[in-house]
Amino acid sequence: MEIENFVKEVSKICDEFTINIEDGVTDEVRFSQNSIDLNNSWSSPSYNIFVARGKKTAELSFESLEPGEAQLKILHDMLEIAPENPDFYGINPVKYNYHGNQNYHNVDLYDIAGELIQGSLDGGSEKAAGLAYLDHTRNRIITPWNDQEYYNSGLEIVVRAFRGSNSGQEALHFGEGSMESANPYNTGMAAAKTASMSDKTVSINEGRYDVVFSPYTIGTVLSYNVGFLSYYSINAGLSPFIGKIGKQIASENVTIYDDPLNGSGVGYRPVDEEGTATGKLNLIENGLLKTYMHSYSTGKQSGNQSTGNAGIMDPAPWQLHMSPGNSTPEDMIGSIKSGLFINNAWYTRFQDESNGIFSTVPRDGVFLIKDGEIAGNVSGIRISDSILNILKNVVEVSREEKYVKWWDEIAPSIMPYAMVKNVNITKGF
Amino acid sequence: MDYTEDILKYLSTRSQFADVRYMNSTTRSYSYRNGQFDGQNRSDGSGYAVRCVNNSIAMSFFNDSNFPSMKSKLENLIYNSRKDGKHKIDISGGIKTSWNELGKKKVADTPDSCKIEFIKDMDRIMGESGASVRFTNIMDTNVNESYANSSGSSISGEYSRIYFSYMAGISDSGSFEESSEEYGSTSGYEFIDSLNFAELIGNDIRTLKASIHGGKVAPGKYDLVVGPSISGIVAHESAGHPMEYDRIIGREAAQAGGSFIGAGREEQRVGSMYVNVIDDPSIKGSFGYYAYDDEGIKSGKRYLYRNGFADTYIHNRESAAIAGQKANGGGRSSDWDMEPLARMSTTYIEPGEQSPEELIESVKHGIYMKNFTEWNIDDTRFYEKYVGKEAYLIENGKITSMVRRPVLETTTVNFYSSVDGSANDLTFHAGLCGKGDPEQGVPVWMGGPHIRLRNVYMK
Repeated sequence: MEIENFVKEVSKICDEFTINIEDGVTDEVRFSQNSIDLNNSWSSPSYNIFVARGKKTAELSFESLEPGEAQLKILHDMLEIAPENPDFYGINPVKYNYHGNQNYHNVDLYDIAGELIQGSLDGGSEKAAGLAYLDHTRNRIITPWNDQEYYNSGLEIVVRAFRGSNSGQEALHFGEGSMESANPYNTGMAAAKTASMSDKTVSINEGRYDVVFSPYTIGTVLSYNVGFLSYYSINAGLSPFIGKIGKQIASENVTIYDDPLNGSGVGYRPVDEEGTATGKLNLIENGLLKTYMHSYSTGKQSGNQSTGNAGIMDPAPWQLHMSPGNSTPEDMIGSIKSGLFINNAWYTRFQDESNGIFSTVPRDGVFLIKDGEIAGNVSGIRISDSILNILKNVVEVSREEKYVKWWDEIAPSIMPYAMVKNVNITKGF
Repeated sequence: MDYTEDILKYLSTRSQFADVRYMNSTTRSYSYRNGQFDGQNRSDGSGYAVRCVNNSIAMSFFNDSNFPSMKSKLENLIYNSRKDGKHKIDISGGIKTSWNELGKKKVADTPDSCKIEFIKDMDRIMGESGASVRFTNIMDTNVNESYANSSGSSISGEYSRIYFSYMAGISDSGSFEESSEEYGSTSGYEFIDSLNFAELIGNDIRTLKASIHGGKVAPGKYDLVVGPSISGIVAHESAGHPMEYDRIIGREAAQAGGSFIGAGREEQRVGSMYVNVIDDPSIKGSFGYYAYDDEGIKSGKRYLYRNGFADTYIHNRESAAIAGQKANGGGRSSDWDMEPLARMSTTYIEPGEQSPEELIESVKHGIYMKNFTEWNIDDTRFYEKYVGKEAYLIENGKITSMVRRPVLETTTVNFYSSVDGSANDLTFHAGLCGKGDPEQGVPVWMGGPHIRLRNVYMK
């Protein structure tokens, strides 16, 4: 069934709807031990449809060349059995106009993988693992009030360089606006440089340390915690930020905003899932909590406007950006008498989401700083702290920022280095 | 129409090895939150995963509805497979069979209203037990899958999986505690009938509430008895993952990481003689059950650790060939458009002969940590942390006062080397295990009995 006819039929079975269509090609090359493991290539259109009849809602996603009668019947049947969803307050009826990116850039992923490996080896590592993704997607969002289309091109490169038991990692993303600036060879070199920062291994005691967070470390911490700024979490009663709008929740060095119109990253998103035009959204400004993230529905429920972050029921950021400061990572390390530099972290898990208490495991370059210099590699430690403590203790932010995205640990974001005082570090016995 | 034969025929003269997997899946999900319906989702996925091996390995994922339109994708696949790269792969074949596990109370015969009523009821029980923050979700998946390769295998399978999870949060005296639990099975909805969820959830939330008033553990050395959910997660995280051979050879190094166990190190000691850890996809009813894996290899029981030593790696076709071994049924894909990786299914610590009470009786000064909240482990699977949810002091063989959030932060070898006894109460818990890039979450069971550790540092 042609999409225009399908839309007409959908409108007959419900009051409101959104249809999100993604169609394109994604390619991936994975490598390890300095050689190619695999090429993956995906090409299939995917549909995500949200329908509502009064407060009854249903969501259907599927992959198909064309939607048809089968999907209409499924949506109809889902609405028939649905209890009312009291928190649904409608889909945005405002008409928006905008122009999305329409340029494609092509790159050879095998060449990129080769340059990542070569840069890593030339930088002093012994072996490298990683991947490169190239994505070309046509996105279309149809609602009763909007029918909008934009194109996305994105490149992601990840390299982990090993030198003995030490490693360093870089994981960058490039949108249509910056893809030509990608330099995989230098990225491989940078990962190897981190792996080569020290050949010495040292042990530390548990305790509170001043820590330089790399863009990856601050990126993973914020990626795991930004969901607490969704109104869905606030309304559910599960967030450390409940009741804190207008309050100082971070040091004045912290400004964090959603940056969906920045076409230099793969998080570029000119329109949200219900057709609302997106824009820069200050979440935390000089430490003050400015707003939660809203769809039209959560905005209406709470007496606010949409912030262009639908997910209709659970708003989310598109491309988090922490504003740069005036420092440099070298100055930060140089100013620490006894502390740590942590290049990356993973496996963040919470013991208390209401207070934002979690731990995460540093990796890919973890170093003791003594008297302003790197004094050795550290292993077996954790950041065991809370998001509120970390935000309040940011004392320096770097001018340099990186477009970071890694696996499911770091959402597409733009992050600087940050120096955080008194971070609780634990270790195993 | 099924184009598997056409695809294989097209690739037969253009590849050294090729295989085709077609998968069609439907997943339905229903949620309740804080006393109200929170939405329903359905996801339908279907398509071909085609792998072609020449000078390297290439895969293509598509769902075209006619063969001519697939040809350009197959040509591109062949072109990519002729580039330089790793190309070892176990090419075994010749299996022609089918299998299914749809259970007794089939998903297709279970009305949506029953599923919604169930989570509504669980939400009510959570509320009546004192939880102020409540999320429940029930999900079922139906999968039809066929696999064929250029070595003559042709296998079809059909199965359904049921998954129920909840999260509860309790506030009391200005403090907060939370609990998340997951249950799953490869079966029909009889699985939901087989457990007394009302009692399980009610007890969990009542003890959660009591734990808020528990004392802090004085840091130091204790004997420790852990419950099945902890022995299960330890089996999964620090025996299953480090024995996945693709990790050992660095294939996942830039994502889920490597392994503290090296290649050719099957004889490495990892714990005491009491430690036996098994991975077994062939356990009927288990959440990760399959008769044949997603690469057409028959599943079976494998000892990962035996008598305290590393024993058998988990292999897919690719990792097995690199190791010079045969694939052993560990090749799993989370969906039709994902590559098969070396994965766990049901991973558990083998039970012993004693009762849990007997394990505790011999502890003079210790801690009983029944289950956990926060946990994580480093990417070599050596440094791990488990925070207790329901936990008590043990004094002179008796469980006494409750303690709040005790922490075991240790190493894999320290943990397994401290084990001196396993009880006879093997119990399984469900989970979704993440790995690969794009990340793939596959259903697993994690299991074990109560086990006793001597002289470990707790804080």
